[in-house]
Amino acid sequence: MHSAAALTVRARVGRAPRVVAAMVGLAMLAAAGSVVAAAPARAEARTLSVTPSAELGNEVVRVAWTGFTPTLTDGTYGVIVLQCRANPTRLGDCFTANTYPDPAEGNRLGGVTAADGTGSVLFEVRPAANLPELACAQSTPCSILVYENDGVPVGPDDLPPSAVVAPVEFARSRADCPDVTDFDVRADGAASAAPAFYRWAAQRCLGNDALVLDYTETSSTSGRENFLNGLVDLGITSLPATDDELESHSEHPEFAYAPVDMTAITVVINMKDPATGRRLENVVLSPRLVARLVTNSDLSTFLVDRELRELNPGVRFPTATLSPPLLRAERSAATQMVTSWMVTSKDARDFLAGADKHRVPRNPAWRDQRYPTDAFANNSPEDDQFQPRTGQRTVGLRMFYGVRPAGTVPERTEIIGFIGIVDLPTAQRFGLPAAKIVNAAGAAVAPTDDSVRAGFELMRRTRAGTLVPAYDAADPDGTPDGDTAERAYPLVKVDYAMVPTQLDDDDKADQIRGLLEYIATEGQDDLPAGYFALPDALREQTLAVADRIQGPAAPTTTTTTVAPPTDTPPIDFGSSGDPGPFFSGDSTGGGTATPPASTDGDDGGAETPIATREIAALATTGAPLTLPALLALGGIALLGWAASGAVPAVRRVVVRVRRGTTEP
Amino acid sequence: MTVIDLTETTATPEPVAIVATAEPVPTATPAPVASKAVVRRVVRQALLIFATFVAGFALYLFVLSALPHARAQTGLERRFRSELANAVAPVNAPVALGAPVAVVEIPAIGLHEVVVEGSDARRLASGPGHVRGTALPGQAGTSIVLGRRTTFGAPFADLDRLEVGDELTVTAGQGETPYRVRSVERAAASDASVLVASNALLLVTSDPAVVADGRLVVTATPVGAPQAPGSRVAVELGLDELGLASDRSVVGELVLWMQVLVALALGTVVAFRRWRRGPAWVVAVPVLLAVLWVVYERAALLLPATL
Repeated sequence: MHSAAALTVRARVGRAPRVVAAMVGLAMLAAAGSVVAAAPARAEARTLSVTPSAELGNEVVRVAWTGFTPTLTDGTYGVIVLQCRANPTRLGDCFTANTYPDPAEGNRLGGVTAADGTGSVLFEVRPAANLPELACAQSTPCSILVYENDGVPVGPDDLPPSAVVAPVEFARSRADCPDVTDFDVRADGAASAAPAFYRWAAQRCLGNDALVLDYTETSSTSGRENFLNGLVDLGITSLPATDDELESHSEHPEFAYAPVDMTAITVVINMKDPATGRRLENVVLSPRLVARLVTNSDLSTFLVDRELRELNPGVRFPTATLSPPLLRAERSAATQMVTSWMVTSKDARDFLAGADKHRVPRNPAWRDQRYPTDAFANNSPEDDQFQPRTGQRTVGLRMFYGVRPAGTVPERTEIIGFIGIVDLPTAQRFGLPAAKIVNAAGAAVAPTDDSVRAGFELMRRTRAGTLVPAYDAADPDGTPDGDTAERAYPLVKVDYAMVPTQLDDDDKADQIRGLLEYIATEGQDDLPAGYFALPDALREQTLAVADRIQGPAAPTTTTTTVAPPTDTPPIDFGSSGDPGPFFSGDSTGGGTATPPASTDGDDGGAETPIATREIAALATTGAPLTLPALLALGGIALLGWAASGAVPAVRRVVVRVRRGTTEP
Repeated sequence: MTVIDLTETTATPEPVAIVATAEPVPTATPAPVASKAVVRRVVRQALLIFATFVAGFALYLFVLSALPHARAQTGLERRFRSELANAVAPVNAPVALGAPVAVVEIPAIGLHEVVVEGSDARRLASGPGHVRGTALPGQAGTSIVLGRRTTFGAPFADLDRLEVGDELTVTAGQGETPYRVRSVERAAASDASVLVASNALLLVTSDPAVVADGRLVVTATPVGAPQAPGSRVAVELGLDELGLASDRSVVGELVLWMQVLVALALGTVVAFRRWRRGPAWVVAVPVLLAVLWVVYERAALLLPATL
């Protein structure tokens, strides 16, 4: 068209203008050509990066994109992030279910592109164990797909034109192991040991001395219970079995405690600075503040608490309020340890006694609560927003997505703040910043390598020979020096395996021995984030226990007493000063308070499949009369129809009868 | 119920229009008589339509809903049979929702059903559902299976006829496991203690067959040793997974389908006025029935899940 215009021009004018016209025409052609060439160049500029993108488990990664159309204020060109099979050719290859906490528990996420075409979100990737639909594993790589929502609907068989895909690789997991119907070694217990055991199970499931290891992630309490009942080969717990537990299972196997991993319990936060939109890190919390959280005491004013402000000068907290805390509902060692640490502080004890130094009233529903306790519960059923949840991962997910304990939608964390209690591996894989907590020496410490080692040095030995944190280690005249006490993280958690030392099966004895030797050596070099390699003394203890495991060659009788594996004198760590009238001063169980008597003790496997508390909350549901009411309404309508049809006929009869009576 | 709205909205404009035009137009005097007759006719028709709709729903619930259930069971049985033959039937959690996990057979009441994973209303429409997070049927530990009492094939209709000592068999990935009924209990919805047992298989359905304000729980214990437990993962059960609640997520879908139904009903009326009766019947009825079926299917999911 341009050349045609140039030709017509040339036909009319002289030679010099002809050249000019030709040059203009060429220039126009070149310009048109460059415009055409620019369009695909823009589409090619879309990029996507995922960090980290290898050795993934169920964890949070950062997904960042560039070259996208900036999102408009009405939400057009908003970005959608999905987890997909490798090389997806259609949206049906992706997991598009509604996002957690919807019952479909999807991990789809929305994001926003800034004016410069870039944007990023934290995205939860899931391996096969948490997303069987996609079955991502080391042998089955998957991908992350990002596209912008331009308002044109996309069917499950199409791929949006703006889609960009980045491959992701997963760490070896159980899904990479041969499918089996029975396990060589079954372990059950502490949720904090689960990521390590999953890793070890994946590493050991192939090869010449393959070992099929199963781990059921529950809690230390459940691990002890199921081990003493003989349901599993190893029970994983960080607190030793109480005398009551041992007595109520008189036929339990002879066992010893072998340390398997070291980690920490953290108070995690998910809040954003309302001014900058950045996540808050390094928030400092005291035992008193934690006591305020777990007793649901006037949480609407928590973020303006005087002590919180003093501990965190200059920090801008979310603008509105704090969500009720995210806590685990099941009986667990973590809860026992957190509340033990909490009540070593005089301020916290004063608060719980109702004599707070800042005059914040303690929720009266928690007046008779005794500490330490191994379960968080809602003592005031009229407030259904305070709701401890079952399962470590549930708590972690709600913290990550910013969903209230009783909520169904994610909140904006610059408006609503979230505080929860999870173990360090969970905090790390969900990218949750751990708060600095104030230890007995008055210092605020974060769970770092150094502070956890210092905390480990102060740990005390129970009568059963296991280590528990020295929650109250403050004074320099104790055995360790005051400097260590100041650096020490107070909630160090060493998980122990309850190992049967007398087995009636030589193969099983060899397998458990081999597993313990692996855990004490190579296993400590290959740990997921959030663990600290076991110190040498603990590794030796595990190897010593492995040596004690015997097959059926040497018959013995079942006993109920357990000899401490080491000769360290027991330290009665429970009597820490005067605990006040409402704290159970019970330290006979080697550190754990006497748990409430189990309700179902009828036979064999005393196992509660769902938390009783949760069932009780769910049991009164539904509208049982919906169907009968609907059927009744239908019947009434039918009767009404029939009756109204009869009205004119009845009226005619009535009229005729009246006439009949008046006329004669 | 929206059908009432339909008739009301189509009905009200007529009297309103008459009242509105009453002042300018002098023919106001016959209006009240006419509107009275119209109102009565409309109310009668609305009642009839509502009654028919409810009767159709009852027909669907108690009779026709057995069809989708039977179809789902056939497919599940075929799939599970091949999984068992190839030794790939699930034995460890997590299992994908809706996948077959076991076959339960109770000769005493002639029950033979494939159990699926998941226990919300949608899953229970295809067969008895295994409550996530509990042990798989056949394995050691406590396993809970929910089933429907009156609708969708009513697999657990005769559960109350079981007696202590009756035998049942669970066939799953690890083989057959015989059970014996230990107790048959009725409990109010608020009494959740019946769901807490030890080392047992609990078959749970809703109790008065139509009212569903309680639970019927059959506790069966394994005869001999149960299968080795598979691994479990901690799950957070949804509100709708313990039987007596409904699946709220279908409300949106139901509203949309109701709208389709209303639009179709209006179209049918137009067709009957413009065309001859024969062609109008042929065109309208199959489409109406199909949409009605979909509406009933969604509405049924709003009832208690084990109904």
